Amino acid sequence: MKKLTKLFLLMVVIIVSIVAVLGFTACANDVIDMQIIAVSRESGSGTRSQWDSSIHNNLDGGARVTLASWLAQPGNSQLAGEMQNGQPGVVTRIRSQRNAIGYASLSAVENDSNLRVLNIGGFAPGATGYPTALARDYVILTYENVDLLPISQLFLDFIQSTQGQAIVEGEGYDFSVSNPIPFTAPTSRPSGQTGPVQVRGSTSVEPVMQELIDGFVAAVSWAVVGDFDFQAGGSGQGVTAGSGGTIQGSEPNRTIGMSSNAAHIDTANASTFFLAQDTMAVIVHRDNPLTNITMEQLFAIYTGAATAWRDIIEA
Amino acid sequence: MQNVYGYVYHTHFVELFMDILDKNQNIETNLNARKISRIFFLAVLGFLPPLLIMAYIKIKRHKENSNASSLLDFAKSNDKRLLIALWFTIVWTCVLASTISAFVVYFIAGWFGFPFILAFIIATVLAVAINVLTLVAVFDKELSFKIGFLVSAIVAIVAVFAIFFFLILEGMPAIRDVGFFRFIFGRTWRHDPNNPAVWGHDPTYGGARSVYNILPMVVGTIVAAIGALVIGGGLGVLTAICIVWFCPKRLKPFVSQAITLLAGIPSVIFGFFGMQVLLPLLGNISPTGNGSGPLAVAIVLGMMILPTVVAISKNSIEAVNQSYYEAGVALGASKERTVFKAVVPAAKSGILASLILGIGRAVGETMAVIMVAGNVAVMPDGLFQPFRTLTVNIVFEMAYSEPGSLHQGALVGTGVVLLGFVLIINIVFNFIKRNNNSNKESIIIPTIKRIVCKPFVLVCSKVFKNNTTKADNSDIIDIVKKDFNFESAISTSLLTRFINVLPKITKIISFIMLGFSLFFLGSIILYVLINGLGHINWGLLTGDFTGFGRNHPVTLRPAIITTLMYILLTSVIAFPLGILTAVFLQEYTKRGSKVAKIIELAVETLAGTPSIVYGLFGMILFVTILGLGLSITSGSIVVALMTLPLTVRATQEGLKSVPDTYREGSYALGAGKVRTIFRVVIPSALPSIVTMIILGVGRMVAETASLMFTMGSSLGPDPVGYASSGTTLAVAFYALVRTPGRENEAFAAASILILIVLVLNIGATLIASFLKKKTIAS
Repeated sequence: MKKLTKLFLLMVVIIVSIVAVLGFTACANDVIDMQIIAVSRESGSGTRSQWDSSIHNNLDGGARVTLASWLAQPGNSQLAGEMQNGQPGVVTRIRSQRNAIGYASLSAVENDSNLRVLNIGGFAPGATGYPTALARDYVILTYENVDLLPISQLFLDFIQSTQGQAIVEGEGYDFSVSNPIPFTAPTSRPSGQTGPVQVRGSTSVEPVMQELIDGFVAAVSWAVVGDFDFQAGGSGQGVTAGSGGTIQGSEPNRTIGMSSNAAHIDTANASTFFLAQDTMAVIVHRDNPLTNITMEQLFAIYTGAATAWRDIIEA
Repeated sequence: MQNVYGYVYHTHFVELFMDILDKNQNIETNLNARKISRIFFLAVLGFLPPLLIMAYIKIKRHKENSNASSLLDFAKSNDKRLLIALWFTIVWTCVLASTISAFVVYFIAGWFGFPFILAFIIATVLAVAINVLTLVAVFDKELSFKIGFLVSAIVAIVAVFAIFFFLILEGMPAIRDVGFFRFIFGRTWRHDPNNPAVWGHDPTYGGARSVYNILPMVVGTIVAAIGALVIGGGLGVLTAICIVWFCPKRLKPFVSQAITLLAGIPSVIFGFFGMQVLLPLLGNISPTGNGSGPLAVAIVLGMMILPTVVAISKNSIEAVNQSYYEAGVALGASKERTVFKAVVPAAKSGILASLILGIGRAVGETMAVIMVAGNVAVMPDGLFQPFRTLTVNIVFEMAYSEPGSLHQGALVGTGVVLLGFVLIINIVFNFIKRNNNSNKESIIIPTIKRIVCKPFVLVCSKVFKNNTTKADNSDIIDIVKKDFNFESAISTSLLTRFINVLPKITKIISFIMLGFSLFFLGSIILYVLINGLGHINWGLLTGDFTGFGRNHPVTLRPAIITTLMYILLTSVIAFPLGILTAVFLQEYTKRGSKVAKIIELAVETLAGTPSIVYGLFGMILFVTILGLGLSITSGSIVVALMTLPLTVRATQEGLKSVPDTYREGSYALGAGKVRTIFRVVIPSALPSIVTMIILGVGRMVAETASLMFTMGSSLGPDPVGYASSGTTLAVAFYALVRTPGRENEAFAAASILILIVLVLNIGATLIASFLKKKTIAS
């Protein structure tokens, strides 16, 4: 028995010491001494393609190379760093990793105390001078061959109205619908076929769409949250839903798709419109002393040319 | 609350049928057609029952008079009127019953969100099946039950075929389009939505167009599996040895219970722990500052396969004949020496089997990997290089692929390749198991080494050698060649050589490994509970869902309701099917008969299929083709298929443990087979069936990956029926983790999950021992 006790003691000592060493090193480093982790979105997302086509270098003497065209060159199949799953994936990762850098929708991160939103070339996001290429459009899609269910149509009217505009702009986006008119809700639930409004699509549009649903429920006396069936699984899901891919047989069309990829504005079988314009923000962990970054530095980071925070912070 | 599916109930069956027949005609024609069809319908219903009753009476009378016992005897009869009555009964009972059950299914289906056609097909199949069974039952009860058992056993085979069929249907065109070899051995995966690769386009390398080749992911999967094997396998085997031979007696049940518990923790929690705790720690020792990569994945997956490895190797070590140990000690060897030189080598094939099962689990894991792998589609060329596995590739890009595009086809094609992987692992596993049974282990292990390991090491070194774009690759090749000895992980030969010199040290190491296993378990549970328990409150559990936005409080009530509804439907499908299948396998087929072999193979394939493949299958078949959409129904059916193998196997084990004397006694008393099964065999196997049900529920609670494709992944209001989309607690945890400012609620959800798993595990043990005592007492 004595032997066994000794063994257990040894076991505990070894484990504790390993953890202690790892834990100690975790606290020891400043961000400035660390390497850069560049976090990207998954290829295929609207955010990612906007990012790839807008981050560029100016070093080649006039010949501007964007990340997208850099990727198309032979030998460069992937960006440096790592990829995360959806906008929440990027944000969650950077919140827990002190030396990471990434990008997300401005309105989703600007009030997050664990993150710092960087200025680009000295301009804060939203200010004139901030790269306009980092703005992207949110697309709403509905199947054009079958009429929408009354309640889905009402919701669609609502998000294009002045009330919708107030909510969208209150969330920090630019409202893209031209000439919005005030929305007046019918006093009672539309008769006939009812059922939940299905909303499907992009994780980037998710936050503003959630606020719009809450706004609709607040503005319409008979509406309840149970009238909405909301799933944000990605832009692809939104396109499937918006082009009638989820409608079966005699079922009425209740589905509204959302996408963060402007290319989806021409999707077949869907009537589409731009809902809002969003600005992408570059984000780092709050422990990072950096406040400003340039396009060239971002290009260098994402192509793997710049790897140490010291080079960026002291530049 | 208003019933949102009201429109389904108000539509008359016949009217709807006519609507489908002439959808585009004007209303007047429609009305006339409806009238006619309704009259016809009523007329048929009106004159049928009297005729049927007459026919039944005729048959019954004949049966009493002639002592004919089976359907065949009737068919041989010369009485023409009797034959007409017989066929009339069979045909019209089928028609009548299928119509009635179509009504019933259709009305229930409204609640489940089934489209009409699907409901009608299901109703017809069900009705015909039930009819045939009842008709046969009138003549031959034993036969009818046998058919019933067989039908439920066939479900597993149908499921396997369906999975293969639909995956290949969707994935093969893309593989063919890219070219089979290029798809699997091409080294570039790059998707650019603005420049997608299109069908029929010859994918040239370079240029801006997207390229879909999956070699990086194939290699990534292999690397992840090996990493998991090195960490989880080594740890697991040594832990098992330590538990069986060196652990103090009092600690033993506690330790093995704790390790089983590790198996029940949802994989999202493992992944979250890895992302939040492990990655920042590893980032400090990583040369690139980024902790994600093969090492992190290996640690997380190693933790996940640990319980599987421990459980199975423990069983096989315990199964080694006690005389081996006694002989060793009698020859004067120390305890450690005997254990490592005599007992463990005897359990070699069992240990090998446990390792291969562990690999299977590691290959199929998704949610834990996605959070720590870094997910870039390149070859993993270092311990800290972000990489991607096959499973991650599917989850990662599926949501962004457009339906019908080559991209989506290539993703489903990834699923097909993954399925192929798992099949190979399954075949190897079966090979070993079969040889294990016939005691040919001395031949089999070298063969496995030759067939599996050598080419593998070759491939590995080749892959790494080719990838010489960076200068620092040379040392990695060295690692592969020297230190990264795959064989040491698979066989115990190196281990035994080591033990030869230092048996005592190995014992100490095995203790440390046990400690590590417990430490992993403890740290995950404590991490979650410390952060989460304080945030569980009544409002979080039962509060109304007031809105989607960030200003509204989080409530887990919708998730809890969804989880309960989903567990109910899944259990209703999976457990009866599984139990009936097991009864058929155990009681109606001889060991090694062809039917049994085929069914067992199907069940094993289902068991090995990764949950993400189930998710893909569910997405293709239930969500899209059958039009169930993202709904609790789709998710439940898919997970029911997933739980089926566990149900079948555990029930089968239970039935096996019922001594044959019970059955013989029952037969001797004059009971038939059916009576024996339901009155004697199943009640005696009840403890293991109950344990199986509890563990099955635990597995349902922990499932995530397949549900995200079939049931939804965003938080929403209470589900109003089985047609609603929804999130279970585990998926809700994943959604909350990813919402800024909702960490407390996420931890609370994780704590609830862990508590549920704890309660289920302990409950399973307690109930099993209680029932065992009761059965023995009676």
